[in-house]
Amino acid sequence: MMPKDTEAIKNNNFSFKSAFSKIPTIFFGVIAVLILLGIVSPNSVKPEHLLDFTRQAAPLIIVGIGQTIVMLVGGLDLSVGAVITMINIVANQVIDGKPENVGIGIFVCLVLGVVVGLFNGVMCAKLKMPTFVVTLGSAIFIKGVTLVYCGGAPLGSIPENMRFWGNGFIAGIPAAAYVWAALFVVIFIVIKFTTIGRYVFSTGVNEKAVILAGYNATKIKVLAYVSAAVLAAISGLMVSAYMGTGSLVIGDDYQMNSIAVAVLGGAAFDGGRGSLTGTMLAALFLMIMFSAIAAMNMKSGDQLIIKGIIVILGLVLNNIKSK
Amino acid sequence: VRNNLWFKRNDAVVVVYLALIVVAIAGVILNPVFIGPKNLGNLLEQSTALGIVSIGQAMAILVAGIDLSVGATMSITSAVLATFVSKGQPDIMLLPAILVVLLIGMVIGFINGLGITKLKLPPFVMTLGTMSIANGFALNILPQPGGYVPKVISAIFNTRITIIPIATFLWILLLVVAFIFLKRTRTGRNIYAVGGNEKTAILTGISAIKTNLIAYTLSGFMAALAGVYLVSRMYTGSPTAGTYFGLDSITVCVLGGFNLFGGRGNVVGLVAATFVLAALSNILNLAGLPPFYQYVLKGAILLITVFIFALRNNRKSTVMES
Repeated sequence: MMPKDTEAIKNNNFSFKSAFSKIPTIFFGVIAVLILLGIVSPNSVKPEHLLDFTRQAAPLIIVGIGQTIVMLVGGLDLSVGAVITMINIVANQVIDGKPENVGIGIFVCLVLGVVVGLFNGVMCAKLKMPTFVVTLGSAIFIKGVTLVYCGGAPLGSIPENMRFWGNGFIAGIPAAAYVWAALFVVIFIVIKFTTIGRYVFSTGVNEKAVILAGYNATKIKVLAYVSAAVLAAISGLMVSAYMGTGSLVIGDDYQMNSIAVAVLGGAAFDGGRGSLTGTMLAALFLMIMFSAIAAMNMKSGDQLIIKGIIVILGLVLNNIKSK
Repeated sequence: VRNNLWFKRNDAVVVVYLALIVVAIAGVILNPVFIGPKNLGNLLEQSTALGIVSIGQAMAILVAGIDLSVGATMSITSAVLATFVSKGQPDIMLLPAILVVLLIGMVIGFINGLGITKLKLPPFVMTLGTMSIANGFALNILPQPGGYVPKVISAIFNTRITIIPIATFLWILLLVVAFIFLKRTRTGRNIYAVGGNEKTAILTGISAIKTNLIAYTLSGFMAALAGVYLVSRMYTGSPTAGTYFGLDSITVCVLGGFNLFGGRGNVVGLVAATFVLAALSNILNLAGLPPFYQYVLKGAILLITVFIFALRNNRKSTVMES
């Protein structure tokens, strides 16, 4: 069922080749882009600058992990960008600059994430509707609801105690990095070491086998969509904590960027393939890349051109490697 | 069992025309001006660009693909067209400008087709990549909205014959050509065959690569054409002119009854689907409601449509199993 794993079990003895093939391709991309940054802007290769990337990449890593989980079960979530914008608007308006409202604000946002995820999951997995159209539909719908909710202009603000998680430091390391690192570790353990996590992989590889094994594949898929939407909500909270105010376009780029980092990290559209580590590295890779481009004083469109080339090239390299 | 009744074979088309009737009735109730000749002319003007780009998107969807880059192609078209002719040059320079942007559109489409067939990349990622690249070039060519476009472009495309803008005739012509192309020519039938079942199509001697290349090149061409019309409507260029057309054209195709798994769909459905989407903001405007309600309605309509199709397909598959 899972050729890669059986191969790993067979070759129990350590070899450099198998160890090498275990490293996500994007890891070498991160190294390359760090070297590039060192060449074009030697000043920025300092510990404090490099640590700042772990803050900048936080929302993209979190939403990218959610996208990866959905892609593992063979789905796709186009609504994550709209969720981020919605959470940004709702968090600002509900919390409204008052430190005592932060708890309720975060609670409301997480509930919204669960609701969106359940909707997407039930529509896609239970009613077997095409994921692309369902999540595109909910993306448009959520955008509309967000606009109606705030009346067309963002209101409110985020107080300092929450903003700390966006731009504060704990022991010299950005607070945002602790958030994504904690989420990463928990999700990594769940996916790798629990039954339900293993079934996430198997559902994407062979759904029928999972059903024959007596497991509820629909439940796994719904769970994947819920995690993606909740992670998008957390990502939205992180964006809000950093920004401090609301913006109606803040989530737009995350719709496609989350898919780009999942794909660069090794995820495939037919499910069963994808790597949390790869996605995390891909998000860092993109952030460092953008920073290097900014340091080179290129034209405004060059960032987009290079991003496009990287997405295509990255997938070509992944294809070659998996052969 | 082949179903001989046209409306049963094309029930998706029937659904979208019913939806259009509902939307039109709602529009008339909210404000009778909706059905007035001037507003209908406006509605045609608002529908034409989306209608043209959706024909191209339909080709990509028919071969079981998707083209996310059409919006970016429209943006790059807008940027090039607004910078190609400089002030003082004769209006005739518009002609080579339009030829150049149509060529750019076809090249982008052809590259998409190459990546999808030769490099075997999923259409979603390939066109996502070219979307980003084309958006980048559009921004580099024309960093801010503006530029110069000879006024004559508006006279060419937007003069109204009675209430109908000239470009709308072009749209109708393209629909007719696309209909005949898909139903009556060998290449058109191949597009359905490759999208329906690529392996079977290849076994019957159809070149899947060639068919895909044609479908995506046509998609790029249509996007460029829609971009030209967009410039003629606004007299000016914008590096982000096409941003929303990528996903909107996919929405039109889904509403119009095109199956994202390929091989199924009828261009007749595109007309009603385009009008439904374009009418939403038009009606809200006439009813004095904020334009952002259109997203709620658009999302709801898309979800309801796909829900209806899902119920139908689930029923069909249970019938087949029993």
